[in-house]
Amino acid sequence: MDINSLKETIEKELGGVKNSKELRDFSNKYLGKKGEIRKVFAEIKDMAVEEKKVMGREINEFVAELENKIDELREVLQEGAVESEKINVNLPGEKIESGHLHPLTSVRREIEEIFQLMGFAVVEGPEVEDEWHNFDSLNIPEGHPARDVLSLGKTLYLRNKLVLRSHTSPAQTRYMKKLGAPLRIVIPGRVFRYEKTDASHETNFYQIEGLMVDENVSVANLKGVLEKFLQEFFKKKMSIRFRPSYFPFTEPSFEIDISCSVCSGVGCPACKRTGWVEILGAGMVHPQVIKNGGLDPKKWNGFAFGMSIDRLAMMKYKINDIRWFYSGNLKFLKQF
Amino acid sequence: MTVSYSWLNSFFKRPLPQPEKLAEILTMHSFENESVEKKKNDWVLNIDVLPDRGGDCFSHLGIARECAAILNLKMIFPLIRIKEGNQKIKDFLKVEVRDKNCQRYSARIISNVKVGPSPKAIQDKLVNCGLNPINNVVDAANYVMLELGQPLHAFDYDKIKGKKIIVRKAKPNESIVLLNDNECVLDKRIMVIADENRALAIAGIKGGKAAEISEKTKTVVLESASFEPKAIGQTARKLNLRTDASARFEHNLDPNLTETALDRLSQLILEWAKGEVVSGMIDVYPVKTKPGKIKLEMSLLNKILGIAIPQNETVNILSRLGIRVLSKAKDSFVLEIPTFRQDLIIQENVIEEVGRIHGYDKVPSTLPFIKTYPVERSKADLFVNKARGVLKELGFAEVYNYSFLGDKEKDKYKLKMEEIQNPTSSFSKYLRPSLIPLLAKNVEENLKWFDKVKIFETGKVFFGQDKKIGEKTMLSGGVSLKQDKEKAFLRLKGEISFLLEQLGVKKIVFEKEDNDSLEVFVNGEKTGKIVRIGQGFYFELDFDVLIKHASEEKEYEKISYHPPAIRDISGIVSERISLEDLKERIREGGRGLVRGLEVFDVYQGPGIGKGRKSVSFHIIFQSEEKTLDAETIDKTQKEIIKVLSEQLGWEERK
Repeated sequence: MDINSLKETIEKELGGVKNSKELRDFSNKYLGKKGEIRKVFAEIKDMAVEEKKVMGREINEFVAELENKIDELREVLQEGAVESEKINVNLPGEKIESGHLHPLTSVRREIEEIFQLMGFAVVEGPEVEDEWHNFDSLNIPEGHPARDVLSLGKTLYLRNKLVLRSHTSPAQTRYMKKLGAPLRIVIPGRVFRYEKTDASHETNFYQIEGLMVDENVSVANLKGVLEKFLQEFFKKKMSIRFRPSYFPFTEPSFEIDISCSVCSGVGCPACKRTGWVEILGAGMVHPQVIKNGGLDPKKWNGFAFGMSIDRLAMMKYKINDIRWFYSGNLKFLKQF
Repeated sequence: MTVSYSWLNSFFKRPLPQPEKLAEILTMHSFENESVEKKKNDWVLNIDVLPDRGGDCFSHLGIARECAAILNLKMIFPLIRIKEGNQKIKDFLKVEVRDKNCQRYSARIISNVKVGPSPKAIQDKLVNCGLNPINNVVDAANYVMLELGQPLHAFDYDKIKGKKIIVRKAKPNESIVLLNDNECVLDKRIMVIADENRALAIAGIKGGKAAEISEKTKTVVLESASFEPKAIGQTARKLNLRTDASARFEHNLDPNLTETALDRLSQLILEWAKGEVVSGMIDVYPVKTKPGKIKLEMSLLNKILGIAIPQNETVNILSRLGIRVLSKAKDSFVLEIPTFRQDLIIQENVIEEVGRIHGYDKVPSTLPFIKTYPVERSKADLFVNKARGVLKELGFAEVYNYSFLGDKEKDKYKLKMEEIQNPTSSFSKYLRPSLIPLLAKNVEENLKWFDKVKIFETGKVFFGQDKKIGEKTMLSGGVSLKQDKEKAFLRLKGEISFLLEQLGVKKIVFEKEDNDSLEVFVNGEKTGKIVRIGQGFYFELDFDVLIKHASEEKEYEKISYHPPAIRDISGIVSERISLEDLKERIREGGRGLVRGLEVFDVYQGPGIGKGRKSVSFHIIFQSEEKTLDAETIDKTQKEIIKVLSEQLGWEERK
């Protein structure tokens, strides 16, 4: 047998190995249990002692050399394999397209949750109201300036003594009649006004009405509930003040201001230099309204309040124009 | 109401707090102050008098009374004293009131006046309060109006025909030329002050040219009257003519004020324009307004305010407001309400007075002690919120549109809509019957800036219902379809199925309406549709219907450890047979062994035959009890094909 030609063949074949699998096959073919090298050892078994020694050493040296070469090549091939699977973790992550909830949806939910935690149920009233619920039930009789079509009244009128509700307050008597007392509800919803639109006025916007009717409800309770609400909503202790006001359906009536968030109460153009921003209308439910709700005002009394969800959302996100909410503009909506 | 600070101060011996401070005090106890402005020799406060207090607080006297009550100050009043002449008023004038909306008509006459400019200091005061000086007679009337709140009018006596003043309704088509030279056509609901021939003034609103005071005027008739507030308000709004007089008459002025104001006016005219007051006053006042009585219970006061105000403090506050205690029981008072406080009618009105003067800042903040009671959760609200969340997950952005549509949409979509009687513009004349028109507008607009648009909205839509107008909650959305239209459509269809499944809706069927649209049925009830408009596909789901079929309930389905087997079947059926029908029959034929079912091909076209379609399903067979052998599966598959062919005319393709 020609050991040299075998060496030559092996060297040549090794040069052609391109990947780990081929290397494994190559290694088995020559160095395996039934490999070519074994066969050579079997052949020299019968040789003379001296000759066997020389040949044996030569083959062993060759095998050791070959094993080294295989090991080296294995490493090279493995590195190559890792190279092809390697990832660049420093590249920017893929941009994920998400959907968006309208800011008024989020703010409304947040408001609802705060009141729910204080034991108020969330209910809704109809957007098309009859004049009785929108006006009469709230001590706004026929002929009252607030019902006038032309100037003072900002109500949008429909046919057959129907209107688009101008506030969420008509739901007060609806739910007193429906659910009785004691009663704790908030009524969020869309309201409608005859308005020239500008940065702070819209023809439709959202209000949330609150109503608590029980046997012993006071101005102090109204203060407690609203203070807690504002604190939760703005995530900090809020300075608030109650000012006298007038609504036909509450007595006493209040307007409630919070300390201006822009100037912290020092006075700036946003708060007309007063340091305060009006945020809520409220009051103790007028006994006639309790009566209109089918309850006995001698037994039951309560408080009610109303505020604009749009306004709270504008304050929360520092939005300067109410009309963005109804623009359908994705440049605006995708920010939320 | 524009209020002069120095004028207010003239009601007090001791000076009031500085203007800014006073404004703040009034804001916290009476009325909001919009601003304090420095004016010539004075400051003015712009006070937002509350609507129920127009009767007494559209005047310096009224605001001064508020200051006195809040600050516990003693007031001084101008001394009113006039010397009457020898001539008697009944020889000059007769007054006849024919309209019940005139509650009181008081008049005086001053002869030999010299009409000219009023004193400079008075002119400045009027200008500071926003009125133009005219002449000493008119200025005096305006001055007293600002001082006491009673609107007054002066007529030139020599221009009154028949020497008679008649308060009556206007005649049909009667007209009057007003002081500002505008001619105004009246109707029979409008009350006028007239002489024997013509209207001289629109009662409570504005005077006319006919008996205007001029430099030549010698004798003046001074009118101080009281009118029904609603009548004046309605006329002013109808004529769109709002004046300083009408703004006051619209509120509950004290009818007992006319006499004081008339005397004050006479006094000032004598001072500024000389002349001689004719003896006597004409005063038509058939039903005299008397002070009201209200019983105040301390327990109710304390209950409502949530703070215990001592009895003596309460009485003190009331007396500062001019309210007298007539009698006192253990826990209650009977109070006498002065006639200038026509707004105080019920006990709660008085409680508000005590509360605001005492100071709402002194009321503590106390969370209520509440009784718990079960509250029914609104299913609609729950599912609307859930749907919003699902659509957001699917990459939709939520929009809010107006509830109104205009003629443009009406024509484009051929809509039948409820009309608004007083719309703000032609773009908002109708109530939306669908959310789609404005969503389509949103999609088109946004495509100017974005490659892809996916939006949704939930809101009320409206429809006529005999005498009523119905409303229901809709859930709609739209997607743009710039690239592959079929892909976009199928994606949307899949998203709607996903949404409905998330809402717990079980049986969803889509039915083709025409080429570009589908109708959506839930448990056989029509729930919505998918349509194509321009560059987008839009869906609409009636949420009120959807809610009936939606459910939060879920039930665990036993997981089988036995291996599943998948078999495919393909066949041809009439195109009218829905996939849902086929699926139902497959489950029926599978007798509980069909664990999963998936459509992997639907084909219509050459080789199938008209009106027919080819459908292919993957069917996953699995048993909870045992490993299914080939024989059982073959048998079940044959059974399925038998059911399909017998019931739906299915032709199995080999």
